[in-house]
Amino acid sequence: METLVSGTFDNTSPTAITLSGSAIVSSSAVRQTINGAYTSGWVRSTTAEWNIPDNITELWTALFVANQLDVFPSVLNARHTVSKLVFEVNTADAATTHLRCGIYGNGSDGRPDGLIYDSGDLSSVAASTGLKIHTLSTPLELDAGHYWFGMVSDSTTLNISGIPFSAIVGGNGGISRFSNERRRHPYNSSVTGALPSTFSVSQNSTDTRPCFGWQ
Amino acid sequence: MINYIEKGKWLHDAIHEAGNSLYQEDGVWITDSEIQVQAIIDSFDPLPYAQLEALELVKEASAQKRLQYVTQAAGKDAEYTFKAQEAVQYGIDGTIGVFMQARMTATGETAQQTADLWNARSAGWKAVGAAIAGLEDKASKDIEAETNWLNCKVIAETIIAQIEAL
Repeated sequence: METLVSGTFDNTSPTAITLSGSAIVSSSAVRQTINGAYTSGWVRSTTAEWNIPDNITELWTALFVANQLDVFPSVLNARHTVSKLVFEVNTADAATTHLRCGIYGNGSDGRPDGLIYDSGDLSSVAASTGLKIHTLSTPLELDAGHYWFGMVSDSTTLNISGIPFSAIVGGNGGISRFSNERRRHPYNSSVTGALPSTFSVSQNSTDTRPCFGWQ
Repeated sequence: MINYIEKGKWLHDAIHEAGNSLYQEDGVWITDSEIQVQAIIDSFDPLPYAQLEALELVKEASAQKRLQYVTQAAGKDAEYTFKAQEAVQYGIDGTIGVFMQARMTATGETAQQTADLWNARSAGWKAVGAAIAGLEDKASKDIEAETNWLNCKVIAETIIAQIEAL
């Protein structure tokens, strides 16, 4: 039996919602759907309208800080298999040579900890705008718990849809879900090349940072 | 197969607004209707959108710059104008206006000190304000004359750098 665990869900835009497996996933800022599956953060629905989080009245775009990995908190309320990552390029940068998505686990101190997934270099898709989907070579089974999803690039021109700090700290999808103060904050870390096996927190991110969704 | 032509984020908005979809999965463009989406891609003109975005960027930068010099609050514009007028009038015939008198009473400054301060501030703001306005005009002129959408943001960023350097 699948159960929507919290928050509200806009099912007006998708033409059909088909959930698979037994997991209903709750995310940091908002739950939305693409192609029938849940994602975290922003996403554009199959019928093309932006699904805007409950507490947000406008869309966000975000530039990268070169070689800064930004991670956002996200909660899985049940075991879930992640098969695809999705992000939207608003301003392309054909010169980008480094773009990665990553998933980190949660440490005992409430901060991002060990690397769970590194997408590898996705910079080739940064040369054009639009919605980009990356299929994991092997679907990733994640137990229920707290995770950190992040992106990094060497570009300062590339503009990706992102999540603002306020959507996590003040959002109704955020503050009520994260009992640990440290889990409410997006963090960043200086990274070049492959993602480090352990996330080393540099500081909190306090503005809108690039982010990806997943299904 | 879709022959994708990069035309900015607005192209994707147009495709979605037309009720179609286009996304790239593992490097391959996927759409719900190749014929309709290709037609949109081929005919879409991003120039007006790029021009509007570029103008907005300049407008935002100039507004931020102005705020470094003037306080945006109800009645402040009128206050600045009165102060400037009173300072000029004092220089002409020694008349002390109500704003001048209020400051003199509150601070203990002389009329001349107050007039000098306000004249200096007024002249400083006029110079910066005029420079901002001039750069805004140049941005509008150059962006509206541009025919390549890719150049609009470049023009805006060049002007913005000049505004920020004021």
